Amino acid sequence: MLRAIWLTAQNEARLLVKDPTVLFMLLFAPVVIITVAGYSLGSLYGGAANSFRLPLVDLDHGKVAQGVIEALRREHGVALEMLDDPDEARRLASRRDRTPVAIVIPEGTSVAVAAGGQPRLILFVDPVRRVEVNALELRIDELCRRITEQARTAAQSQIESFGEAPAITLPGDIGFVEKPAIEGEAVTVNAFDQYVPGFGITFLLIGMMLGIALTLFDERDWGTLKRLQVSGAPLTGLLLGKLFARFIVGIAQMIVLFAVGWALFGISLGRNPLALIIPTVGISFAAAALALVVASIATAHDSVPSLGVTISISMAAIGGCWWPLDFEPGWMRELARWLPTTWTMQAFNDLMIRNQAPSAALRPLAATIGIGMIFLLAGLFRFLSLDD
Amino acid sequence: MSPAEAPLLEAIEISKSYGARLALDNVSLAVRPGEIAALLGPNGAGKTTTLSILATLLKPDSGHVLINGKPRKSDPTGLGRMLGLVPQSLALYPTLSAAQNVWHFARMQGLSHDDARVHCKRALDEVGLSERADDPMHAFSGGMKRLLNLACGIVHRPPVLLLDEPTVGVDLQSREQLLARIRHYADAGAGVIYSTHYMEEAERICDRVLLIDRGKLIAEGDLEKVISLGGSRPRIELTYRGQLPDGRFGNLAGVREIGTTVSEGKAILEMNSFAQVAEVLHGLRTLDVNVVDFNLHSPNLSDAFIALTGHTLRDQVN
Repeated sequence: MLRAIWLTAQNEARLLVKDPTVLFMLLFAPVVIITVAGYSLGSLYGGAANSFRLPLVDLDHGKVAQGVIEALRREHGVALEMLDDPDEARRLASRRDRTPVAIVIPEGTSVAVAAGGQPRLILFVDPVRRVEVNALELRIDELCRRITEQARTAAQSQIESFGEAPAITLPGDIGFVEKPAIEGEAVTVNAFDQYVPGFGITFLLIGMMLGIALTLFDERDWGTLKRLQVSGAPLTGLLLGKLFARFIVGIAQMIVLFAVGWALFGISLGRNPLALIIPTVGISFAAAALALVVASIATAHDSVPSLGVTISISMAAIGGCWWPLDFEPGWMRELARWLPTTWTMQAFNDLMIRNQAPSAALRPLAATIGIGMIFLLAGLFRFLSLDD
Repeated sequence: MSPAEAPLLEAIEISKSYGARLALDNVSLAVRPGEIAALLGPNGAGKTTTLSILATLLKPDSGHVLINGKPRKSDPTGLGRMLGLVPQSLALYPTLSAAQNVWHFARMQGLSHDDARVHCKRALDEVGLSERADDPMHAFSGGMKRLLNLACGIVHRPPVLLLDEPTVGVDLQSREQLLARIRHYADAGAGVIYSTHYMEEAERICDRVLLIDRGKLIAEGDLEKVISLGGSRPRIELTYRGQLPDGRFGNLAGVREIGTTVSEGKAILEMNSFAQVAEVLHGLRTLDVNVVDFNLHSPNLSDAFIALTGHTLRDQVN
């Protein structure tokens, strides 16, 4: 018995050493996931927060505005950008990265504070980036409280210096009010509007890896690919046929997920539910092409799942499928620009949460198809060279 | 088969190396309509490489392959469909039924929907799997899988059939069925190249033998010719009791002593033909050799192979 255990263990070790891909994945996969999650969620655990860009329009030009601006300039991790046009500030909050909020200090704010009123700063917020909005709002709220307190302390000192109470009014509270960065939309969002497409993309990727990469390996092992090639069918045609079938399955998978999300969780399907097909087509194509790349670089059948799942999870995480992109450090956001998941999530957010027109999904579609084409050409080239 | 008939498939001076190892060295061969040519050699001799090149799956380093007298690239699809490959591995989809497997290959071979239906039914009938047509392939026995593998190769009625060790791991009954189907297919006019290391199979169903060893074609021709190339003649293997006379078997006319083990009382004598048997036995009695048993041995491919290469067909080539 002991001998059997010992000999089996020895043989397993030999098998492991003989398959460098599996060995590599045992170490590589957790390191990749730890890196992505650690950098993305570090700020939630008190680590260094990512910097935000904060457009601000000063229509007040008074002491309160001056106090707010100076205080924001001292805020760690906030890059203040002074603008003149409230519409431009609003537009930036709806579109640009690391800009979840824009502030407008309305005209007459200082006067209203001095008169004991309760003026409100206007915060244009992007509902898609609710978590970042909340983080910034906490800091702005604290800042407003400090300014109000300072103003009151100054007024109180002034009163005390007169010896008896003069007929002056204590400054009022400064607060803020949220407005959607895109006019007419809500400032809050159904969490499922983020999670249904986000996890849908994740499992679409994993499904493609298993469905295409594994079965391509199987077909190579079985010899069916070779046999079909004898019939005159070009290998490229056989591969594209396989990809096309899975591409259709991927689209169907996403449609079912959206239907379930709508029925069970009340997700928004945007202005035109049919427009959701646009990013779905893009990500299905890119994921199918990526699976071909994985099939062409994996050295053994058993290494396909670990390699494929690691790549899928990393792409989904970096591309903003699980948490907001703005959580991520600069280098990771830069990397995300080259991932189809990023562009697809942007399109889903625009259509479902920002309620934009279908045309908003066309640029992300072009980017996703472009990246997918690179995957496709690389996968075909590699696969055909293996065949030679 | 008429020797004048043009080859359906022809390899002309093909060579192939894998790194420093020369797998095929200047091999030429051909197969004609109605003929089964056995590609016979030990494991690692170059049979699968030859078949892969003939199937145009592998490019030779030098030499070329002609299908119906033309290079494949002149009509890749049309000429490709003249070939039917039955690989050594089971090139089938395990979760699909037998009918679905055959159907897929039929359609990929360019058969129309209606034609595919007719051809699939016929192919499954021919290999005796009609009653199991709807069962998934993975539920089949090893022999049935091999038969299905053959059905997928012949479903489009290719004029040339390339078979790579089709009976490996098959039980006796299935082997008989397979060999019968292959012979029947050739009799219907197809040219068949049958790669095997089973000498008995080659002797049973093949019209011509191509002996291959270490990447070289060492002999080619019909069965008798190849056997005779080995120089072997019929033998009589004797078991005797007692002493042998002085001069042993030297006094027997037309007989050559191959080997004698006196301690075991065994001797092997080579004759010119089996017609000499009675004469040899009579001569032995005259010499007072007390023969208690004897066996007759016909020269076969194995003898020829040993004579030509110095090792047996079952030997692995390293």
